[in-house]
Amino acid sequence: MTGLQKSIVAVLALLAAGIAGVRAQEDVILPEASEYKEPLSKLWINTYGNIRISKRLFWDAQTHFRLQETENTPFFGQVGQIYNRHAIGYIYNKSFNMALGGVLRVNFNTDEASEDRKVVPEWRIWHQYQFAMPVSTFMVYHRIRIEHRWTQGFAENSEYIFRNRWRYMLRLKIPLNTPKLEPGTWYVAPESELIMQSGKKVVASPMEDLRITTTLGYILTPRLTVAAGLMYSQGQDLVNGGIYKQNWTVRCHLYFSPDFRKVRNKLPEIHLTD
Amino acid sequence: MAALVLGTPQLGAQSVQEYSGPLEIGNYKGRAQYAYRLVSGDTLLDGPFRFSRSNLQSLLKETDTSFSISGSFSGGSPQGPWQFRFGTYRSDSITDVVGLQYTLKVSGVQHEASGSLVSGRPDGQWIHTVNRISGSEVARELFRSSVSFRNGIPEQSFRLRDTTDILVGRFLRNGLAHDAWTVYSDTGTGAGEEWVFDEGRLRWIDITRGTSTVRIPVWDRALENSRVIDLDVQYLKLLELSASRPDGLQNGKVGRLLARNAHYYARIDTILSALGNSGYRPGFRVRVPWYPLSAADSSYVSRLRRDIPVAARITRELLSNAGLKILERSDAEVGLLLEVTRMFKDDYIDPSEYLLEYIEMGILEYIPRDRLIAGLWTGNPPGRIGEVPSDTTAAPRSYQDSETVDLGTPSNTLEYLSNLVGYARGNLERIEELLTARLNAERQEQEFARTEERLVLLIDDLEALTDSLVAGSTVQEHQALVAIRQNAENRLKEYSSIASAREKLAYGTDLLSCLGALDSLATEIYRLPQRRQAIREAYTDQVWNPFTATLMDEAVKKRITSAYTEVLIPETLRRIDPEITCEYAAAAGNFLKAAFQRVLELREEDTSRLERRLRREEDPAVVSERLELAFPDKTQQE
Repeated sequence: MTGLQKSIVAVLALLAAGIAGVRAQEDVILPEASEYKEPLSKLWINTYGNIRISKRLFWDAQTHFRLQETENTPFFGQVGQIYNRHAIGYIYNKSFNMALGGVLRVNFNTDEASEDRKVVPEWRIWHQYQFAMPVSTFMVYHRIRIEHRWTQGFAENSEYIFRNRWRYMLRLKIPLNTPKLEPGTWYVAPESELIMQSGKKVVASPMEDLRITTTLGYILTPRLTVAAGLMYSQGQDLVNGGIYKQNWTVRCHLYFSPDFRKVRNKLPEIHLTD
Repeated sequence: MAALVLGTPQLGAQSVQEYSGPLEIGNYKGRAQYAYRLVSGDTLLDGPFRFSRSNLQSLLKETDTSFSISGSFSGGSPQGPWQFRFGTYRSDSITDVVGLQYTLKVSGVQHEASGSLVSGRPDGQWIHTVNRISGSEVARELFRSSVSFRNGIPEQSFRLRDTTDILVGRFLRNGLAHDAWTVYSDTGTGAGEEWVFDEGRLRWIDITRGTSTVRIPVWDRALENSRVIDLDVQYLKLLELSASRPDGLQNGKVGRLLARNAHYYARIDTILSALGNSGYRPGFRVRVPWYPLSAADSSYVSRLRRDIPVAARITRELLSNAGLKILERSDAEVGLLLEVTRMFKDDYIDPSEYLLEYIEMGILEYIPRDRLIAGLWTGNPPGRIGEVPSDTTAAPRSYQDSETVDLGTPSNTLEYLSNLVGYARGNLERIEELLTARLNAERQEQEFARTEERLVLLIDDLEALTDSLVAGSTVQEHQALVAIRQNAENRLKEYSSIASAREKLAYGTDLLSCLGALDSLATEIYRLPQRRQAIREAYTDQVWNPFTATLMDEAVKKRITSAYTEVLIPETLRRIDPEITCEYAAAAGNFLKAAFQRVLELREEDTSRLERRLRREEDPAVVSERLELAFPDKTQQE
């Protein structure tokens, strides 16, 4: 686990550096005490594809549909974002894998009063390092994800701003009805993820989001899992670090991992290096 | 015979051909060179003849039997000078190099004979010598025979000599023994023997041991009826039976020398007879009394020749039968019959067999029958068997013989004897029949016991299978096992209700294989949970789940496994009821076994097409066919 420890240290160092760079902006007045906005309700429908392309490489293909409330309809009144995340992943061993790829997110203007553009793209380059460790009957995952993100506002001719996102997620998957995770298992997955950000525009709001989720999942086959859960998240407003946004999000997940390789290619390598 | 063993004859009917090649005559195998003519398809030897063998390899390894024969034929008959040499040699493996030749010294025994033949018969002087050879030199003369012939008939005097004795005698011109034939002992102990003939008739024999001489009269008086026969082994036997003191003739020196001489003559005659016309015999003639057989006697003799061997065979077989020997201890009836058999053997058959020997030797005509028969028994021949003495203190048991035939008064006649042997044969045949039946009954009982023991084992096995619960077994499996057990019990009930032993044994034998089939089927069903598990394990792959980062078991080729677990097995079990036939049971058992094997095999095969064809197929016959199996047809088995 020395690799894991080193990676964590490196990520924390980066986070610290990012926080140091944050300065208060002059035209923003921080409130005396932190202010929490009314939570928004959202519904995320996420698909996670993990397509094996060789012994160690896979294609990570995720498509998320993110809906959010309108004044009249909670959770799914309007489309918030459509999110396409792709990467090529590398399985180092059962305990560690990584991925590098890009994101195209389509952001919809959810400000019902806005006269600006309805839709703008957002681009990211991302890489992630995931550590998996079995503990007792359940699994513990540490996920470090670093994203380099270019976003723009909905206003006409608004410029892209560049930020880095520093994400760490701790997740457990605890089988409920079986001694280990296997087809037919109902599992519960508590997770929490801290998303920090840095960049010129990030002055007093380094904590972009803190997500606390619990999911209930069911493993249909080794290649197909469904899950649903509820997430509470809060984070600083980019402009005013004293203001905290809040969300309650219902998340639905579909995990699929087809393997189209010929049987004879699969057979000798299926067990990796265990 | 000669024509058969001689090599392929060449062309040219009357012209003389030469043969050179392998030849085999009886025990003699070697190389031959000879001249022959073909006369109406027959090979007729004509001209010089050589036949020999020696084998150096065999000599060096162990012993070599070599021989060398040379002479000539004229028109198929041996003619002119002949030489014979037979040897059995060992080599002591001492070699010398003499000049440029290796010499090897041998030891052993050599028989040499030489003389002239006229139309296959000895003519002139024939000398046989048998020598012990040691280091390739004659170490000792073991036997020497010197006889003069004229056209096959011995004449004048002859000499036979072995290591201890010399026999000298003479013949009349017609070959009949005459005057004293005297044995002189070389050892100088004064042990001698003298046979005194009168124109072939042996009058007496004087045997001298030291200073005392014993005279054994033979045919001292002139003979009323007489015949001239060869002085051969038969004659010596005849002497033994006719002499007033036959014990004196045991170990007789004359007999020994004559027999040995006859042996060497026969060796040569065997070879010559195979090649052409031969009459190579010593030809010593003697006169014996003649008691011709009447027509009635001849018929008694032929009855004796027919009955004695049969009766002897029965006694031999019954008395050596291991099953009867055991049965005898527990069964008094068997004991009695065997005891009677023993009595027949000792008192009737064994003495009669001597008579048979004399008949076969052809000497019956030369001995008074009453005297001959009297010599077979002490006293008169026995009568019928009535009481059988018991070997314990119990009273003698009585034996009811089978024949009401009147044997007549015991007398030393062929007639009485043939009646007696016929009586013995009849009784022995009846005893054999009784004992064989008893033995068969015993065997059948044992077979019953064995069959029933195995039936019980099978039923127990079935019950154990039905009663024991296996983890993972289904209700349907249990029901099938119960049905099989019910089936077996019904059959067993039927078996026990059969009265006739023969039918019962036949049914029991069938039942044995039937219960075997039911038991196999039950065992197959009993194993199903275990087999399902084995198939599940075989058809499970470990798959990497990237979302949990764990390996997970994944069932593969589900259409094949479900064809097995959802169609073939339940459909087979569904057809098993208490009424199934043995054939169906066997077929179903075999099917379950084969299906399991086949499904295991398919794990490694490319089955994508098969899997498509199995889709939604629920007909067990169709599924079986697609899996290359034959689903047992219940209706056809019935």
